[in-house]
Amino acid sequence: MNFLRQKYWSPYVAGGLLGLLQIPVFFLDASLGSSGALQSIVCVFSNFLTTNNISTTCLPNLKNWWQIGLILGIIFGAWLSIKLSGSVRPSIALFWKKAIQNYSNKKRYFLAFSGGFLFFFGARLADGCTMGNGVSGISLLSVGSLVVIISMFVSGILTSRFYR
Amino acid sequence: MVIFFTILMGIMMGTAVGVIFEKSKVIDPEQLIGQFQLRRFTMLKVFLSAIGTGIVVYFFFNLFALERLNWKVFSLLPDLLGGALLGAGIALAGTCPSTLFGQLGAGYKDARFVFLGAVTGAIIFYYSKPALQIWIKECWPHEKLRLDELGLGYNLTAVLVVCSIVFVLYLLERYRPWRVDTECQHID
Repeated sequence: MNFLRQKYWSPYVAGGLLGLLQIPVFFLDASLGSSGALQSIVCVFSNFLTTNNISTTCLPNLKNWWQIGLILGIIFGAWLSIKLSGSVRPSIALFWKKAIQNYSNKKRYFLAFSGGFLFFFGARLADGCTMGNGVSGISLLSVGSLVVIISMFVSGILTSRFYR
Repeated sequence: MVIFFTILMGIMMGTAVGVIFEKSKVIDPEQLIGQFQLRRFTMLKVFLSAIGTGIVVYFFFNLFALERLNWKVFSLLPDLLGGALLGAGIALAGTCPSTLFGQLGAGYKDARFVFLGAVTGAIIFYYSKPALQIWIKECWPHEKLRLDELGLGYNLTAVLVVCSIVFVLYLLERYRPWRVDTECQHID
């Protein structure tokens, strides 16, 4: 309990625990990550809107249902962790006020929206995000995942040069 | 019933992931973009430790002859392009797709716009998927490939990769102790 009340953990402990989650993931035949689940929800809705009936081709499979649970859990877990440790965060990170020239909330919201759009499209194209490709894929020694992550780092470093 | 159990397992593991994300501060843009700007190294340390542990876990599974999943198809151009979009998007959004949900739980307001952007991305991807899939399948190469298939064999490759990760983490910690990165910006 004391461990859960701490304000922060060493990155090595945090990373090690994240890696150990591969054990239950393996036995559940699931895979860590969140972009697949969101895609299957959107697929069901888009199908419903255009054809007015729910096509069975993109109904979430068990793996997607598991990921939907995972997403809900991550939201809850971060909230719980803050409640237990009493950390306080501003509603928009102070970082942005330093990094964006002539900061305004509108500017930040616009960047946030375009960022979300780009990373999601990229994650689907590359078949996984930082968790799916990075943590799970590289743990399985997948060459494709390694290429995705290297490309991601290079592009992230270049894009971040635009911040102050 | 099976679906209910599956979602419940997901929620339990997700809760663990959410706590790990918040405690290690990887949900904070200062840590994430600080990593891209090579000012802070928390992201890389968490990431590499997770991969290192993951490889050890799968190494033991392999010893007990449990089959490894191998789902990622290697396709050079889509992987490079997807990775580049992913990196640029992460730098603009200030979060990865998975840590986004940690940000939502932590109450970051701008994360809601990131979420809207992601849903829009999912809709656009859904409609362009048929065309994209044809393109991806035509790209060279299009095969499931693992590092150990490049010639060294599974055991040796896994040991070499884990040793390199431990060595890099050792250098990183000497260069910049983790407490410096985490404590000084407790929140920002």
